[in-house]
Amino acid sequence: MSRAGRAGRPRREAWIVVDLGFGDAGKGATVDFLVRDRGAVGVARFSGGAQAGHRVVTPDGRSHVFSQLGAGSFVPGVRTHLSADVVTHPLALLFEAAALARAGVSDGLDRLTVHPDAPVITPFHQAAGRLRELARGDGAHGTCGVGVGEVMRQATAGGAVLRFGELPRRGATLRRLAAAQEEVRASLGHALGVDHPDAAAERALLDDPQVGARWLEALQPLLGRTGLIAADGLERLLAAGPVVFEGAQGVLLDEWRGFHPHTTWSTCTTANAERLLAERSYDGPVTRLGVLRSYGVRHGPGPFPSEHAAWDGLAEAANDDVGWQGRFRRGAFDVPLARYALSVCPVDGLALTHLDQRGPARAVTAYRATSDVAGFVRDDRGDVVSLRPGPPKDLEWQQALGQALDAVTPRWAEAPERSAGFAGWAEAALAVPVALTSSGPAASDRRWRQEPLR
Amino acid sequence: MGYGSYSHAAHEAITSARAALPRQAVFKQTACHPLMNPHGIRFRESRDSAVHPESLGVVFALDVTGSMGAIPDQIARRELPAFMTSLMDCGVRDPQVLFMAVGDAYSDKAPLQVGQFESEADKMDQWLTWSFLEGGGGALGSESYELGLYFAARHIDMDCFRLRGKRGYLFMTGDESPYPRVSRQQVKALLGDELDDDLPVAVIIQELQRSFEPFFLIPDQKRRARCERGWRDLMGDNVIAMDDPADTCAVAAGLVALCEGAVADLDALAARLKASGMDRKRLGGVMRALTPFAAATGRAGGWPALEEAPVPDGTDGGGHHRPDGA
Repeated sequence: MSRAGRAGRPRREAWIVVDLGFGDAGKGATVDFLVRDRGAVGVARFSGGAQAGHRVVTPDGRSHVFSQLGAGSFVPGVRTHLSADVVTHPLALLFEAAALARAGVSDGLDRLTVHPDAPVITPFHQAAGRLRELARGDGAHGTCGVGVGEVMRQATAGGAVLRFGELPRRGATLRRLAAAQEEVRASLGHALGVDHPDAAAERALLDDPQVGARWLEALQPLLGRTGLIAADGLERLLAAGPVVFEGAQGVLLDEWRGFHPHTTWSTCTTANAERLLAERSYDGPVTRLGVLRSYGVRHGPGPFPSEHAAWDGLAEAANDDVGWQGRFRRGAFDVPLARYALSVCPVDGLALTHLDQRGPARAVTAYRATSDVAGFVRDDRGDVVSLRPGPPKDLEWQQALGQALDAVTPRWAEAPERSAGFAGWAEAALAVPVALTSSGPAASDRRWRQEPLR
Repeated sequence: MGYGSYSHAAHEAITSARAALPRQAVFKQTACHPLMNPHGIRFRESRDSAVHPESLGVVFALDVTGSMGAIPDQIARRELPAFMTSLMDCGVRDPQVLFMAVGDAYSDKAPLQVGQFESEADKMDQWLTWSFLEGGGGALGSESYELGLYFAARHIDMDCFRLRGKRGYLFMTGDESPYPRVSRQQVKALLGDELDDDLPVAVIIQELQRSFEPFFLIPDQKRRARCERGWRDLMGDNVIAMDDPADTCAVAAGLVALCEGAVADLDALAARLKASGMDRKRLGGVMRALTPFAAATGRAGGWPALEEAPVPDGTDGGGHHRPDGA
């Protein structure tokens, strides 16, 4: 498809892709498909940060897990912009670019712009995040061990967060790094002394005065690039043609709408993307796509009512149980949770993924619950069929919801065996059109069921 | 949500606990060194000589993919140079060690690199320096271990086996599963061999076991979960899960000592390692890694069944006695 409209002017389209579950639904492949199908000129990241892991498989079988580079990068010329909402990890960017080069794309960084206000994860934040999670022991929250939460903690506490645009000023950055090292150490308290075999290396890093300089030195191949830091990166993309906004994580992990404390530090709804568009007075068409797996997954701890061993045998390409995040859990398609996600993050269409491997033909359509919380929405039989979000930023409400979810008994219903039937069934259950279906990892495995843009 | 590989690798790179020398300074290669390119090699040879009349071939195959993080670097730089000495400490008179680097044939430029058998540590070191640590690897939880196993089975000729019927040892490190088949196309492209068909990995391991006692070493307990089961199905008791990758060479040398009967059992090995100055914590790790294997073969120490585990006399093919007689 041509990137220019019929009159020769660039076509204007904005697509926002978010995950309506706990993440891992297939955002990366959906973004790759949209970029190819719509002839997009760029991908904008508007949430999350370096902990993202969006896997894309090309038609010729190469693959890459996109983390900070946009999931459209396999398509030649397609650019990536990281907005000021993305918590960046500049050193990991270099590692990711090297990995992408091994998958045959060597100019990933040449096609990247980063907003100067984007927060930066330093090695100290990463170390602190790990130490804190180690200190939690069995009460682990499920972190990716990347340090995003630590940067947000610092920002919330009124601390001065290092911004991407500051990095080229070496002297000032070194002073900021030294201050960050101190600040992080002081904030850790007893977590600094946690007794765990993995803790020693992190502590050593917080003690070593040379780490800041070494880190900045290692970043030179990135920071030496002209045009990398650009406050108007998104404006330029929007002016050039269709843009796909690539969400991170999942609505059910949203900092305010997830089930506290098993949440992330980021807004996972379409809100940031819509704000960015409004700030730039964009008045072209916007289509919001919510990605849902046709069964449930949750990587790490937290409420997951439909979790069931019958789904455990399904293959998973990019996720495993090892590392900082904990176990990769599976279960059935959960209608009440999906309805809740749609109520806090309305979309124009669904992208239903993994239709090729759905596991048993069962889904959870309601919960039986003996306890009662204000957020339960019940049908006339008294079963919980959806959840109601609380007032804005009411974490107690969200925590109560989460605890109540831990105590419900799922009601199992028969779901259609065939994937075509399942898409129609899900559409009816959720009252949102299924726009896109996928039955495999590559863009060629994706099909429009009904195109939301006519 | 949640993926940390790039930031983990970045974090590792900056952690002060790593040795000061950057890895690029040790591994200068940016592509497969021509002398390590396996294409067209008929045989790598381990030969007896006047100085080394009882050569014993030992192959060390190191997984050099990104999923192994800094481990290959660490093993190669700190551990392998002393491996030769450890083997001699364990009672092997004339060890000859060949170093092999294994990657992923679907994504790496140099998925298999093969050195030569060497009897001296400094020559061994040269092969390590020549090897190119690509740090790539496949995304699908597999690496091309089967290609390394294939090479060892079909392209290595050792006097210990040919003249004395004594099997050599192969140690492969890694944290993923092999691909289920040795690919005909890959073997053709990488080695120049013509196969009629793909070979199941179990078949090539059986073939390898004729001339080698192969072991698979998993570097730490975190990585154990993702690959142990598959390797156990293929190699049984010869899958060794370690606490710490730094123990790789001590564990490998210990396995040789146990199999060669250079020490009677684990207790005797522990005593010997302690006498050589190994600290208690490290000794504990090595013993924990070796215990399941030693128990399975009746060499755990303090076991009444010791006499059932015959000391190899060079007539049974070398290596430890397999309970099923294979």
